[in-house]
Amino acid sequence: MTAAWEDPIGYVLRASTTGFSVGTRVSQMGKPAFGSIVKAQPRTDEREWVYGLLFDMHIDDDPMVRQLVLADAVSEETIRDQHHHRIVPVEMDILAIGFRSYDGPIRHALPPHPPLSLDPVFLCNPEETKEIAAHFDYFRIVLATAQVPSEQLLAAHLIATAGVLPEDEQYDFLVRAGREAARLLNNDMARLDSLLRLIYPV
Amino acid sequence: MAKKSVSELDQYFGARTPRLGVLIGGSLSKGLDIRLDPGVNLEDLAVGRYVVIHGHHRRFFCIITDIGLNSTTVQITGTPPDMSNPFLADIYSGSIAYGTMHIAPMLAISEDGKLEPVRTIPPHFQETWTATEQDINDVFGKEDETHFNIGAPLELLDTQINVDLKRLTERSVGVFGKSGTGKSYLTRILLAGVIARRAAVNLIFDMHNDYGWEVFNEFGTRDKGLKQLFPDRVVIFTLDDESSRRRGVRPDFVVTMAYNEIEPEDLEALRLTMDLSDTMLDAARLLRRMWGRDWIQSLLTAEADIIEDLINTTTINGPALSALIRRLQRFQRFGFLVPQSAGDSVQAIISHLDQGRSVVLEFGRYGNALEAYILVANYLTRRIRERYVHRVEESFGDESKQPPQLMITIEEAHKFLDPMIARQTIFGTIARELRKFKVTLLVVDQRPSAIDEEVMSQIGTRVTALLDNERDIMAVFMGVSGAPGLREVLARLDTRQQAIVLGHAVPMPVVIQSRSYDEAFYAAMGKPISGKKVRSVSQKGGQALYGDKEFEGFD
Repeated sequence: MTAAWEDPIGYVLRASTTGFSVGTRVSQMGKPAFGSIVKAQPRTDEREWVYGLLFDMHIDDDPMVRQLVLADAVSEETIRDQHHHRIVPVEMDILAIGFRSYDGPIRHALPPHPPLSLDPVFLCNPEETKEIAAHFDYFRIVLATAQVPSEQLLAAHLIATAGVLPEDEQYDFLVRAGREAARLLNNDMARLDSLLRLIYPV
Repeated sequence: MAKKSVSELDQYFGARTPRLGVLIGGSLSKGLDIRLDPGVNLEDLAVGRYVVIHGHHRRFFCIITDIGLNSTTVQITGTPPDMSNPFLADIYSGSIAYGTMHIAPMLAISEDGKLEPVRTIPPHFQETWTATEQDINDVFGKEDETHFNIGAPLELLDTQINVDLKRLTERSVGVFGKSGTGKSYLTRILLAGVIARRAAVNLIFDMHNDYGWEVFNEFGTRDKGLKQLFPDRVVIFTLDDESSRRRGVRPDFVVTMAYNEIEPEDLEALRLTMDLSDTMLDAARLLRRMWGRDWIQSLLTAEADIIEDLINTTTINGPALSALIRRLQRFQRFGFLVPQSAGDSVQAIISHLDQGRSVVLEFGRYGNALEAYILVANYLTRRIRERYVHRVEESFGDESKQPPQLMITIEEAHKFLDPMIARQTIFGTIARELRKFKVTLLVVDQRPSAIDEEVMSQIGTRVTALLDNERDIMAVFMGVSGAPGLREVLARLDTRQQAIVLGHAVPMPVVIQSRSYDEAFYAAMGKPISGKKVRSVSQKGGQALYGDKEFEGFD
């Protein structure tokens, strides 16, 4: 059995330098989650690896679904079949938070180029996750992007990231992250309070 | 010059204590502001402690003068976060809500270890650290023949603050502090150092018999006097033989003063204490001219017709003369004033001083009579200083005639150095002359604000225990850079064994926990200076050397 980050979770559908959308199958939906760090892998070394946070997953309708929705009784088998043979992919939206040039370090900034269509997209492995979260420079991108539910996204990401750390480092990590968020949101106590309550370790 | 890397700085500065914060603002004249790091517990800091800012090319030695709270947003003060939640408390503390401290730069240490006055400040965001033992040692050096350990800085009790005794004694010294803060105790430590290292000879006007022989301390045990510590370097003179003997002291000389030795100038210093007006003093001068040296006795024994004749035939005012007589009659209760002096007290004192012995003059029961204290101190000091001036002038032609450096200790100094009389009294003159004639003062007082400003400005080294009167605090810091911050420090000293030392004898103002005046101190007084810490030496000291035997001095 392969690790979650070894196989692509989907392929790039649309992209810009601020983010990209990933198309995937229903069967692949289980691995990524809201707040996961993903990367779009270029097919040549001339382009950058683009890292981002998964901030939305949506399932659009298709003609078949429209008909089935109106049917009186749909069997489990039909539903499973529809899930597996959808003609419209499940879409995941990614907010770009950094990039890595060939063999270089991860930089917390918008990438110089967007990924291209059909570039494979992977979940980041624990080492990459730790590397990204070693510095919190990308918080500003997340918190400044109006199109994403930033506090919810950052909170989900921090909790997921804390999960890959040894247990005795998790609290300190969340406190350091909380302090950085406090620094950035010091003029918006309501947002800060909402974020901190979401990451409070239970 | 290129900036140094952190590792280079570490190599230069040595091991560092945990970082306190970063420099965020301030100025040379008003002090520097430090934003404290998250995790620094404000309650672990205190005004008066040392911190060091590591600049690019020098260390800035600073003293904490204020500690504060601040926040990056006013919103948080309107709606404080839930600090009962430890997670939220950990985040808010040190981020949005943070501690600050205000520090006064006192001294800079260059890369080659040279101490420099602070003429600039480090740039923004330089790191601030608690001072280490190494930092303290770099500034205050080691104890040696001319440097004497008087205590340790707060929280760094394994280090020591050494005063430069040569610089201490070449200008006047002030020991200030409100009543009960240990002025006599601090003075005794300083005097012991001066005597032990032979930095100067001392003439101590011992108002309350605190210095010569043993006294009971606040714990009811006995502290040894200077005579017991240095039997061959200290002599005890007394005005009250009976009181001295009652306390087990065998005085070396009983001081008497003849009425005919008192000059009108000796009364000048009593102007305030005895409420002598200008008219009364004018009358005294006229009587001295008319009647010669016996003017006081003649006046006190004069019949009514002589008094009347005086009033009618001279310019002396009748009421003033009557008042002068009443004032002088107070002298009759002083047993040390006699018709004919038994010996030359001044010569006896000078003779001991010349042989390198310090003289403690005990006042016995007369210590409670301020008039007696001022009269005697003024009388002796005026004459001794006259002879010193003469001898110093002689020594310009023959250096062998140079007298030893003399330090005169007076208590209740404001009574001698009040602005109204300081210009007329010998003590004001000595304080203003600095080291010119090799006589300086050690003034002990609880009201420095009552001392003449000009005299205060000439006091080279000030050792100040707790003061809480604003005017006294201002007086002590007059002319001191960074004074506003130090005022906060002074007002918050402990009531015992803590003092600020500033001025000529120390490289920078320093808050000390003074040495304990105990067996270890007695033992250290007799040990040769090896350059090692006296604290550690002395702790093993006394007992190892002297066993359980009562310590009896060294000479």
